[in-house]
Amino acid sequence: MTEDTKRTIDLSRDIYEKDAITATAYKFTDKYYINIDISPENKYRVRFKAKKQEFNLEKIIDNFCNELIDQQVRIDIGKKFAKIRDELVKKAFSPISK
Amino acid sequence: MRYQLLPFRFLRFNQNEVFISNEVGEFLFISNKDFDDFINYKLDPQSQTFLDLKARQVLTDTELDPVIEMLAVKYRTKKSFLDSFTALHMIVPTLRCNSNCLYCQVSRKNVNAIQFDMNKTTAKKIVDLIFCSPSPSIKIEFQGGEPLLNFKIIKYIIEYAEWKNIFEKRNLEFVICTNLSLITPKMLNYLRKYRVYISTSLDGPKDIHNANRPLQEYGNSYDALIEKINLCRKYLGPDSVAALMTSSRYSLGRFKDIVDEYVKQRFHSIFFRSLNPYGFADRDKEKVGYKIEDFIESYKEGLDYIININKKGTYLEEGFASLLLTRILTPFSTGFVDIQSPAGVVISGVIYDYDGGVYVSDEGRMLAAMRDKKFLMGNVHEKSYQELFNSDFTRSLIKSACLESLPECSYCAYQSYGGADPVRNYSEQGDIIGNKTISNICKRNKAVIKHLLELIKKDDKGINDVFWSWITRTPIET
Repeated sequence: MTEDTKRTIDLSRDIYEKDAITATAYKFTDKYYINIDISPENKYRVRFKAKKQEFNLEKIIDNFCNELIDQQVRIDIGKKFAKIRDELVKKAFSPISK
Repeated sequence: MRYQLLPFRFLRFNQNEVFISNEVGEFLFISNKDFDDFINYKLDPQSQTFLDLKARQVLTDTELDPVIEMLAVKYRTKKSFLDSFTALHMIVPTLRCNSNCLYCQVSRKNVNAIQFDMNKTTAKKIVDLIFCSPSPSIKIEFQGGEPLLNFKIIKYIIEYAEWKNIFEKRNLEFVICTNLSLITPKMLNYLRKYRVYISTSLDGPKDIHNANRPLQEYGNSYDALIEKINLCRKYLGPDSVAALMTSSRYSLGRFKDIVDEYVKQRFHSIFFRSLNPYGFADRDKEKVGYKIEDFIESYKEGLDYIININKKGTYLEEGFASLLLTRILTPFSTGFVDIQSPAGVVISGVIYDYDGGVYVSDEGRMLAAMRDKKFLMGNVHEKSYQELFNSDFTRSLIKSACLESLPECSYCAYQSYGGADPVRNYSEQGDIIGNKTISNICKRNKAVIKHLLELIKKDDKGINDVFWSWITRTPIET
């Protein structure tokens, strides 16, 4: 592998949660080896290495960042209705009251 | 005005629109701007988008409890396939087979190898076990090998089950999955007496069918099959035979021809099935297999063709689309062993092998034929119903097969329409959860769901009429 098959991005820990980064990284694991770590500047450091030479790294950072925003939004809005979801499922599987 | 977000999932459907679905599969498309306004509580309560989101219970600006009650009722309805536990009981009377299918997924045995036949002691234990199931409906489906090679044990099972059912009073149903080559008028009289349904395989026109499914004695299985389908219809009625197709490499790009064959043979339903990676299909994948992306292209082409045929007045349902459309467009429950959450393994269907081995699914048995018995629950000669169906293994397997808690699936906006398949994941990736980004089944399901949503989004009256005719199983009035 050459340096052309590798990319690195640092992400603020104040803005993104670990779960959002992990969920985002998961979506890219078909084509890339991904390592998540903490940088010396206390940021999340995500390293990408293409599994095959032909997997394009040109837009990997852009695509990753866009997907990361969606994942963080999912976590943020999920917090707003998590209790409602639990209540809904609990009610659905409870015996019907007479 | 502040409003409350209700549980929903989303994905970027295209560059301009976001697809939103709630816990019970109700959905809508909104623009990127409306989505940003929506999640940031800036949506105008007078806007159409606000009203649409409210109508689909993705947000509410009224009292919360009644909305949760309503969603809970819908959720319970969607999951009602779980109510009665195992209804489908597949039995393998023999592993012997007289077919020579290119993609045989069960690793058939020679027609003379009678050591692979089920005996009466095993058959009796299996029927006794089946009636331990709490399900009010029991469907016994004979699989193979070619089950008609051991017709005497089929008769024994049917008669013993019917006798037991005098006391049990379940909705008892029988299906034989057969290549039909050995069926005789005498057998058909017997099957008519016990109202046994027939499911056979028709892979398409003569050249494709003969290439995929030759008989061992002679290659031209097609002519024999068509003759026997007509014989069955004569004895059992015009709708007594259902047919399934499996796509080999020879089928891709030929879905229009396959559809024409189904119309020609007066079938009203077809199910475009991709190849499963078991048995000879796995061993010979270089010869008969294909990339899932190629199957998806053929699927779309075939579906568009079927829609046009229906528009012209011929009723032919595509089973996979019909299942997904029912999930997308109606509140009803649709259990389907291969695509449901929790997965259908054990809780919806199990299979009993010729030797009494009980597997969580047909695919689990197929893997065992490849010398991997991971999905063997036990044997009817050694374990009780409780020990088989309420084991730690079964519980742990099903816990790992709920989309709601699987990586990527947990937030997938198509979750309400899809399903988990731990056996397939294990077969493809060596892991029952599997990595969704490389799952062929996930790719196929997502691509077909997206295609159907794109067709729904067109809001074309002709297409809508076809879809609803499939959901209601009623031909379009022309």
